[in-house]
Amino acid sequence: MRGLLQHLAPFAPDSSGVVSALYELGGLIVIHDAGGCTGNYCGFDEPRWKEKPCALFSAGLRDMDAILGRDDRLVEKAQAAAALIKPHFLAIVGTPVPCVIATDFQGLTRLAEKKLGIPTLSFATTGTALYDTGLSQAYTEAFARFGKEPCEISKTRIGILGASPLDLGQTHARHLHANLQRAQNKDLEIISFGLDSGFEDLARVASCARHLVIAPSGLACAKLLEKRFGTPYSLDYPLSSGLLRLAKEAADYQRILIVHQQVLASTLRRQILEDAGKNTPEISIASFFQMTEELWQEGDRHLESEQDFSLLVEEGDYTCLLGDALLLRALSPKNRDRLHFLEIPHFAVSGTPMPLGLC
Amino acid sequence: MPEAFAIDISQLASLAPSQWPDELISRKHLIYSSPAALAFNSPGAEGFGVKRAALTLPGSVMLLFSPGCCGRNTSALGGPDSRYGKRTFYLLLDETDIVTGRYQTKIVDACEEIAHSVSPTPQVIVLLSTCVDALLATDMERLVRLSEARTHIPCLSATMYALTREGHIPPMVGVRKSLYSLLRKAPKDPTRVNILGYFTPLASSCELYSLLHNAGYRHLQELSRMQDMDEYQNLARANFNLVLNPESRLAAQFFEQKLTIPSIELSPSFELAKIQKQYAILSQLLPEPLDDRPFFEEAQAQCAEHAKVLSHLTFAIGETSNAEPFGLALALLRMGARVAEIFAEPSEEKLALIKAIAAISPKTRLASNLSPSMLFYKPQHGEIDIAIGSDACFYHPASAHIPFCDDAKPFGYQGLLSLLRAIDQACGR
Repeated sequence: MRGLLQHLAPFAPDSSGVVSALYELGGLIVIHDAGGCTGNYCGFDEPRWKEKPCALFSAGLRDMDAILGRDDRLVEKAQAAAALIKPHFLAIVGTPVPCVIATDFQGLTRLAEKKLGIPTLSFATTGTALYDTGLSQAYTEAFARFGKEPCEISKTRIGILGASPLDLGQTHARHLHANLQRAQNKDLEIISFGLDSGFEDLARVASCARHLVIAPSGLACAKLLEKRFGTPYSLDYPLSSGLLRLAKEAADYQRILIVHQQVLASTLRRQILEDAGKNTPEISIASFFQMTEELWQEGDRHLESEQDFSLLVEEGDYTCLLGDALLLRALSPKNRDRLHFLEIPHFAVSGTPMPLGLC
Repeated sequence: MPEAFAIDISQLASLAPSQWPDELISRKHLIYSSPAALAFNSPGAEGFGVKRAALTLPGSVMLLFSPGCCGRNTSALGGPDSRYGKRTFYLLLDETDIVTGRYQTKIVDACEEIAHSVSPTPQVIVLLSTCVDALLATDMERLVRLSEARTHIPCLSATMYALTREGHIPPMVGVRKSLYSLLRKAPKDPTRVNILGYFTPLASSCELYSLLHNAGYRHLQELSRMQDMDEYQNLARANFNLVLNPESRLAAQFFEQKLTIPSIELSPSFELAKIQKQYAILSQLLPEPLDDRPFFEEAQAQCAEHAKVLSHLTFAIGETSNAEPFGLALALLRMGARVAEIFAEPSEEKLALIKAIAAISPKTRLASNLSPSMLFYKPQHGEIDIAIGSDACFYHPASAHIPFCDDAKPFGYQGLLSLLRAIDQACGR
């Protein structure tokens, strides 16, 4: 039955994506909920939460607030918190409650900007969509709003777009940067926007010579930045030595399925084909999340449900599967046993951090 | 740099509740989300939320129908090695489902699919709804009826309405009642007593078991110890209930009204004299007296032995633990310890405790985990020896820690002794 999860648990939602993108930017982030969505985000979707404090709040909505639409109270509370915290901006993040009561986010934004006197972003996320949609919205909105006009461009400065712990399973960007430095064999100045970088870095985005998009969630803002500042971008994921080792191991198999975010999966596919040499295996990519045509190849699949995934494995005659270990729960014992499985955790799927060996 | 808001408890005690500062009243400010506040925002992430509580029923499975975000943290419950693995199912709603209400039909279909696919067949299906249904006023009774008719399996509904947290029936109160709603009236057995209040059993060494057993109550029944639904139905045969947590009062009302089983409420305490007094009162209500002297004497001896140690210790007490923070603070103060900080939201019900604390230790500071100003909290260097409660531990990383959050619930003299043992361990004794 479509929509029924019997084996997997729900993936990180759009609201988590928005907060993840904005987490380190020095804003006052208010999740427009009764508390549960904030608890889910902090307690499960945000691995940085215990090591990097953030001005993240729940609106603390109660039934009468929702029934009477008391947006003014939310703004008053945000005003009091902003007076204390002095944030760069206010972000209001939607959840199922404002979705059901049809909160006017545009009106709320105008009201908050007027009262607080600081830039206000709002996101009409509903909790029904997935994290990558939220990440994409938040990156795009933040760069559009805070990216300043061209300053001096540094030839060695590279901006990484789409670097969220929800995809990386890491709370810092140092491994990512080291992998990129090694792959490029150059002394680069690398900024992973939103991860180990703050508001000022984001404002200076126009100084980057190029952008590297490491997940589909970064693509929309890469296009925006290309259009606005003329900064070129490419889609690629800096593979770690651990992932390179997995690619080499997978190259021994003939029919391979990779289930992950599309940019990581596509880079792995390229690497496996390179390692396989004349052995040219058939490699398909499947993802529950956004997939761009730029990386799409014949045989790739977008997955809508856990049944889609189990059926794909059942019918695909694959011999090797790369992906999050949680996915194995959705497979029959017969299919699990016949597959050679190589684990690549996906935090947005299972909440499992990337082990150090794969970072 | 701004500072975290805190108030001397004597100052708070001198104010009428209507004059208490906004920083201590969660409905008046945004709710700060720090690891110390996790238990408030997401009770299921630590201890028990509605989801885990609903799975206390033996042989039950749970269908959570909601937008995906509401079930996100539940994957932590459902690992293959977990006792909850294979017992949690999700029906994900999209916007069209919500707007058209078509998901209500899907719920019944999903129950049928679960009933057919799960082996062994579930003994109960718990339908768990969220804020969405609170706002849409979904008729849960109808959904339960339809699901039962289709699956021939008992169903019940539980609500995870965070919106109603401060309402007439907060979620954790509602779920305590829901869990007993499948009981049917049965002949009474005078040797049976129900213990209501928690989703896990009391610590096995708790004297309450032997006290009641010696008084002729051979079957002390706790929902979390039930093995199957036949055993569950024995709860309807109890002579009376012991209510150990105020959140079970609504469930106790259900027992009284539907099953004619009365209740006696006891308040957990860590004060020797209070524990003794409660047992004395309970003893007067029962036909056979309870002889708690040996337990009292042991606890009294331990308190005396610890008096000197405690007099040199300074505590910070949080609200995320198996103890009510104001009551625990007062107990420690009366045992001679110093309590420098309490992290909790005050309420009118706690006023007597607050005043009692203020009389002994006027400079004890009170702060709310939920205040936005807690973003700037900095511990005073070297002030706190021991932090009790996972929230207090978070604020005081350099102090000795007693999370005091075990699933096995402390109670009575055993609770007091377990606290003293934990203090010994924290002190390296």
